[in-house]
Amino acid sequence: MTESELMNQRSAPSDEPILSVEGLTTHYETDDVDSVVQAAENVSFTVSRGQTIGLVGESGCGKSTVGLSLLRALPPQGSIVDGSVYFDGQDLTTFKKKEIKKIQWNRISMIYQGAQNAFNPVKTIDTQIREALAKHDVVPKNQRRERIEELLQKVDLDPGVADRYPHELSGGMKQRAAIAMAISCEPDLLIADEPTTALDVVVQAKVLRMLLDLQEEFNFGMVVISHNLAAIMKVSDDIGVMYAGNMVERSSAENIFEDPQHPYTAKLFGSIIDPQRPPKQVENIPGVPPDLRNPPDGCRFADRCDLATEECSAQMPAFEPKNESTEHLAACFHSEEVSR
Amino acid sequence: MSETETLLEIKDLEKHFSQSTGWVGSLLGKDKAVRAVDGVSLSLDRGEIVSIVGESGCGKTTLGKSLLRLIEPTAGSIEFHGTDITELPDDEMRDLRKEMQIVFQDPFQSLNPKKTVRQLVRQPLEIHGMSRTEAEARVVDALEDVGLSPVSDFLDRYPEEMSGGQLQRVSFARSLVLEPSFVVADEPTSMLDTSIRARVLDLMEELRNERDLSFLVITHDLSVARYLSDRVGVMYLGRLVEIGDADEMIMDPKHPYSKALIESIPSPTPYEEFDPADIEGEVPDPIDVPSGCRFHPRCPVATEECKRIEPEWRMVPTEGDASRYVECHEVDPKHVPADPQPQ
Ligand SMILES: Nc1ncnc2c1ncn2[C@@H]1O[C@H](COP(=O)(O)OP(=O)(O)OP(=O)(O)O)[C@@H](O)[C@H]1O
Ligand SMILES: Nc1ncnc2c1ncn2[C@@H]1O[C@H](COP(=O)(O)OP(=O)(O)OP(=O)(O)O)[C@@H](O)[C@H]1O
Ligand SMILES: [Mg+2]
Ligand SMILES: [Mg+2]
Repeated sequence: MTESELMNQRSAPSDEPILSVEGLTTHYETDDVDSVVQAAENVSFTVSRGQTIGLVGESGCGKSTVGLSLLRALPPQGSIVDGSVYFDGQDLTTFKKKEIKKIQWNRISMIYQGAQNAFNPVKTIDTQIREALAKHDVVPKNQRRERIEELLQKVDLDPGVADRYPHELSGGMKQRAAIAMAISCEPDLLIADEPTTALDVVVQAKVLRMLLDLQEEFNFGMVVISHNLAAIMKVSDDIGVMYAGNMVERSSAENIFEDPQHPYTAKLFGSIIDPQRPPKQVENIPGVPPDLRNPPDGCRFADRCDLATEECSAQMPAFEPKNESTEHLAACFHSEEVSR
Repeated sequence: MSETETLLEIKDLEKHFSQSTGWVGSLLGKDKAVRAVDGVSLSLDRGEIVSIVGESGCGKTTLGKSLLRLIEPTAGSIEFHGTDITELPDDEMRDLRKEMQIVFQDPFQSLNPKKTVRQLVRQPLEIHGMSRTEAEARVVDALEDVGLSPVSDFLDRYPEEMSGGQLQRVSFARSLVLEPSFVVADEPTSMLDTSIRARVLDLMEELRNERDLSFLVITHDLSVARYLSDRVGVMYLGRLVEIGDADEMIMDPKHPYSKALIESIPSPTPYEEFDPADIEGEVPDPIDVPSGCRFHPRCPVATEECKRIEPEWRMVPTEGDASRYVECHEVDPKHVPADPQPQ
């Protein structure tokens, strides 16, 4: 497939994953020339058409870094130093940033964390969604307004919101407008970084259900990043758990919930507060994650782990099948001892 | 706890924005009012934590900002320590901000990108005249408290070099350094994982217990509202429609909107599908507020009366011990006057 084909054509549905991330390693340069922030290290996962992977993990563990790497939208200090990102068979890491911009919205689109930033403050919502629609000419000019209003209604907004400026909208209204824009050109891959932090539970459920329906209709892949574990378990087929730049566990949402194989996963899910039965005291994980400029050689969680032995600090455990299943991978020497 | 002491008393607070209809519209006087906050009364005790929940766009952030006069309220009064602050001159208001702080909803937009973490957190201290060395120590403590440690890793970073949740914690640290007596925390944990969230919630609890700090927490996370707060208030389209004890509110909501909201909390499991309560009808619009009870077009139990008459704010009986206030004609049958339906 040539580059122009990648841009314009949707390949016929096949069993090939729409996205295949292999050994992705992304670093940020710092003021100190001798040290880099190793924000994502050897991260691998795939997403099939019509499927969703959810990325979860501690604040600062590299989830947004992975999301931004996929679309090559890293800030100037950031760069992919190793690994590949195959999108529809083509390695995006070999593309120029400019070339990727050309497929933004119609083939890959992203809802950035803090979606507020996605909008230009001096243009109305209508103008901005219209720009995306015009760029790819997905709807004839005279039908664009209608399409925009329809999109806003899909995310539970009043169509009149089209004519307002970003600062006139609440946090959650902007977030929904960003979702509307991200689906405006029916992409093949949608990356959503904390898409519902500013939505109440009713609107959140409606919007996520709408996304799942749309996914069924158009068969696109999704990468969803969220701290909202209840929501992410419901939207995702698979869940990838990250800790300090590494993916430490990956499996179906059910496996991750029922039978975690990495102690960090167990702790993360163990700190959920059930509003129907809140505990007296919520457990947190004592200690802090390692400095990513100088991470330890062994398991990065070892310092804070109840199960850690000498082996754990000596070498990094392999990311390997657990329970004799290639569908459940984790990087831990002590998986059998992990319990929820 | 010793005797309760009222810290903040808000009466009939309103904030209306004018929605421009273009310059022609403006000349013709056709600009419309967005009734973002439309008559909210609420009081908060010293050392009390109250959460405000409600539909996205219902006016929570506007309420929070109006309380500190970061945007000027259109009407109503705000008494803080017994003084109405709505008429305070700017310089006195500035001094008072030492006592009243806010954590903004969006950390990406609210922190100056040209300043380092150290400068950002130190700034409020300098404005209020603290020496550099003393300020520095406070900055370090505050960052430590929100789990950004080792602090030396973070002090010289710029906002763009931090993750969303790290920024959110910088904002939080910034609001605490002046040791205020009241903090509006607008979605303070929305970008934190469950473990760090637990730590921040513990910190808030500790500050309340040790320093009698009061919080107005705005959140969509009803588990946070219940776990952390003494009382929970529910807003709908610019008004507070119900308030009561946190546990009792979640277990036994009275107002039909509160019920719908609480029914829609997703179970923390991968199994059930999303099952939001059906709130039918048009998305509410604060420019065009419905007559009578503003929830009536979407309310499953609305009657004729609800369309015509605005319900009063009143106390209703509950199964629990704490008092509950609701703004709804239908909640307490004793109060339904016109021809009650046979059961
Ligand atoms: N431009 C940058 N320069 C240096 N370090 C950076 C930069 N951007 C991010 N980092 C660091 O890289 C790590 C990963 O950041 P990232 O934003 O990917 O985390 P995250 O998992 O998305 O966290 P959150 O859940 O808090 O949003 C963090 O420790 C962060 O401080
Ligand atoms: N500067 C403004 N000009 C015009 N309208 C505004 C302005 N700021 C807010 N609004 C409107 O006021 C209403 C309330 O907004 P607010 O930000 O207070 O909502 P919120 O409850 O915080 O919502 P969210 O949970 O989505 O953050 C919304 O309809 C919004 O569009
Ligand atoms: Mg992030
Ligand atoms: Mg808000």
